[in-house]
Amino acid sequence: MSKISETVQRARAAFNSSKTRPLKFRIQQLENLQRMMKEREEEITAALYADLHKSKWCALYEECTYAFEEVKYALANLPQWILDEPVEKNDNTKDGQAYIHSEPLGVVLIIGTWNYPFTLTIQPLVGAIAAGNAVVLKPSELSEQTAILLATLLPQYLDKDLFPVINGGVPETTELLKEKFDHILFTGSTGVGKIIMTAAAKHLTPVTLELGGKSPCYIDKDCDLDIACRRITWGKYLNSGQTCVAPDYILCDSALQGQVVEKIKKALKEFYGDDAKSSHDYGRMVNSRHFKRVMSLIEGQKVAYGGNGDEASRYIAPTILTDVDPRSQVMQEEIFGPVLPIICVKSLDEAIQFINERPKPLALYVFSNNDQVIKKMIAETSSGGVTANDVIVHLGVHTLPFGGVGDSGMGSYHGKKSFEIFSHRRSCLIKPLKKEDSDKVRFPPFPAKASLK
Amino acid sequence: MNPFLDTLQSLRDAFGSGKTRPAEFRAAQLEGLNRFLKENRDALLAALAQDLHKAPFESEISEISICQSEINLALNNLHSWMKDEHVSKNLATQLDTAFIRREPYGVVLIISPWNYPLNLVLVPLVGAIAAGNCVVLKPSEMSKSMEKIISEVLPSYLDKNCFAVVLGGPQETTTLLENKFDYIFFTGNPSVGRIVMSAASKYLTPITLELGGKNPCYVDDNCDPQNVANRVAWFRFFNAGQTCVAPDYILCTRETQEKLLPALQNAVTQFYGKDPQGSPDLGRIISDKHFHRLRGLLGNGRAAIGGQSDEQERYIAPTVLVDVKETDPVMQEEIFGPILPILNVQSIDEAIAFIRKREKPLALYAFSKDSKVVRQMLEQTSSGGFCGNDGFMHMTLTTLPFGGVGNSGMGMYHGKFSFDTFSHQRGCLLRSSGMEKLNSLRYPPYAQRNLGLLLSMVEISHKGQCTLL
Repeated sequence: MSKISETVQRARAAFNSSKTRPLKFRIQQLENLQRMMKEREEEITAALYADLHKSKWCALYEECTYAFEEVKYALANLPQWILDEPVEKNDNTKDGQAYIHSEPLGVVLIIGTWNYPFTLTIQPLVGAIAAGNAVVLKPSELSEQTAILLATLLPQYLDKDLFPVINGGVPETTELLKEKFDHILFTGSTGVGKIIMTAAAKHLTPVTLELGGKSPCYIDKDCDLDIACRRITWGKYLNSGQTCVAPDYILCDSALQGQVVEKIKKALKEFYGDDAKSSHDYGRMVNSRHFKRVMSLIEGQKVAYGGNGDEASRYIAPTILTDVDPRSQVMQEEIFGPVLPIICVKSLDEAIQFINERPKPLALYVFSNNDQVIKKMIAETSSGGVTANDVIVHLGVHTLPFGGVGDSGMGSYHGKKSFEIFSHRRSCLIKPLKKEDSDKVRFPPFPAKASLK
Repeated sequence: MNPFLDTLQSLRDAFGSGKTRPAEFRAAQLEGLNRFLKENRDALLAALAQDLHKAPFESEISEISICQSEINLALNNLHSWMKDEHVSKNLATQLDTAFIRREPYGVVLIISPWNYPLNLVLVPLVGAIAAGNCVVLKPSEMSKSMEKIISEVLPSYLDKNCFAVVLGGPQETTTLLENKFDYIFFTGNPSVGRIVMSAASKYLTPITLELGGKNPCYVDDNCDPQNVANRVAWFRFFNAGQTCVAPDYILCTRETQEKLLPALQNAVTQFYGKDPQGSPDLGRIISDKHFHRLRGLLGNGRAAIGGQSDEQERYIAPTVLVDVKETDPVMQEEIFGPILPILNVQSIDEAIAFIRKREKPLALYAFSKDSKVVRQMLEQTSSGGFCGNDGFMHMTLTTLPFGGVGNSGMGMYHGKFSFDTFSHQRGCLLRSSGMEKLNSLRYPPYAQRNLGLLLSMVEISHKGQCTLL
């Protein structure tokens, strides 16, 4: 048996021993995770700097705090989540108890990704542990230092058998996917999402797929353009554009385009200075392949700002493209880089049509002071989630499920939703064992003519 | 050649036009289903009798009445189900609006089986329509009379642009699955479930799979044998055993077996008379193939009750098998017939170990006067649903989600759970341009003081909630 197989079997045996069932155990593991994040903060932020040039501030604010909040939220609410939920009964069942009993699924596989390599493995891990599962973590090999660190740290704080970390590339992941899991949560691209779901189908394993797409950002004529552009700039260039819910492209009237460019330029200078390359707070592309990929999207485009890059440091300048042709390459794939195309549309209707002609995105943004505009945009499109008059921040609300739809994914998590997706919600009806009047009515022989009272 | 392209395109266009979005449209469709049931009641009863020899009483309680309840529930609650669900916010979003908007997926495919051919097509359909989708139905070709009504009569009660019925067997279904759907709802067996999920993965189509398995039925020594026998027998032999949640096999001690056997015989005689073949209340097997499959199982162990069969009528007698081994064919697959094997265990722990070795079933039953025994069985096993001291009554409660786990399925439905299953739950946060000063804490350049301030905001405000932004 391969090492991977052994590791998964060991996790299964540990799960079958029932040690994850008591609330106390799960709380203890979560508290250990919390402690790990506090005690090892230096190493975690150092790894994030090594992988993605995240400054300590970025690393804490964009990564650790999200994960930290998730575990705090789970710790505070788990005693409630774990309880049986009674449901309303009917006449047939009034003598009994009817409730939904949440149980762990078994061994869960979490496949992480490289852009927020710490939080996008830890956040789902929190939910899976809270729900009482064993968890196999497969961090992304592209964010190598974080992957190595997770494999080092987790065994020091969590149960070694229940929560193994398996590192490796495509061959290891392929081998891992041959094993049977009871749920797979994958964060990554649409293409790989299909591969995961196909592999999961062999074992009838349910999946949560957090994928991506091109998240549109519509700017209405009636909005506070300064603020809109500041917020968009923040969300777009965060992590050098490598955020699944970054505003991918802008849709606005051509009359606004010039101003939008100017205001984004202004915000960029405010955030990163005249030369983003020398800012401590501006990220880098994760590797050479993605650097080249994003640089090629700029080719042939009208560059209103930026457009240059440095291969050695994998730096791409914050870039704005104007009058972009929807048929060009930059509009065919999720950009996942600091390049912001502006597409001109004549009206809200045209923007809506543009959006609906394309795959459903993970996030959708609309900036307007007019409630009717916002209402219409939401009502006539679909997307994983929405923020109006800001970007990204819907992710920070624990009570909103985070996930995609169509090509951008299936299922969702965060907060209580995490607990639910990693649990089986089992319907239970417990009746007393005594003879009932209803027994007489329901047993055969039946009246010849069916007539229910 | 893809014969379904035109149909699917017109459904997609209809969905894109937005016509299924208003509550009035959906309610009108549901009213249409209502009228369909009322106006065709006799024909539906006749079809069920023809396909499965179902007694009108069984048809009423397991098919028509259940469909009726689901339609009424949807009509009564449609507006509240459709409403945006406002969620609690954190400190940073206090002035914002945060809600979950439930939206239709688009064009939904429902593939239904032959054993409850009306219920298992209509109940999901109610959910899909209530949630605002366009629907393609693929009823089972094996329940021919019902298939005819679904394809020839039902469409006239629904909007033709938003609803289609597709007919055919495995070949046609395979071709159908090569198309893109926005949701697939499948009821059937696990092997076909795998094929459906595999096909769905090509388009990243979300799915609900209502599958099956061998539903264990543990009978404790501490019980009233006749009471238990009555319930187990009824739920086992209902619809001639062709029920995905029927108790598939019994686990009990030798001593309890000796008490159960005469009680089971009593029950069978009471329900179906001395000659069950003559009873109008006992169903028949759906097809020759399944009849032969079941007849082959009659030879496993020893038939303590029943054991007879009649090929002409596809009749299998209500049968209880004893001296059955774990390795016998009858213990290798879901029986789906009126045959009930009894296996002996020495204790509840042995029963639990036996159950845990096997795939997670759709349902699990435990009979005992001792509630601790029932609770132990519940806590140390997993299954789609669970009922203590009765058969599949848990399915009649629309407030309980109905679905499997592991090999018995994924996803759930019934009642509001159907509406939620066929909806995308979209997280929405509406902010204003105000409070930008507060927002500024998050912008670069990231000074040390901002970090301290932001982190302290996080500490102060924490009440189990996030205050990042």
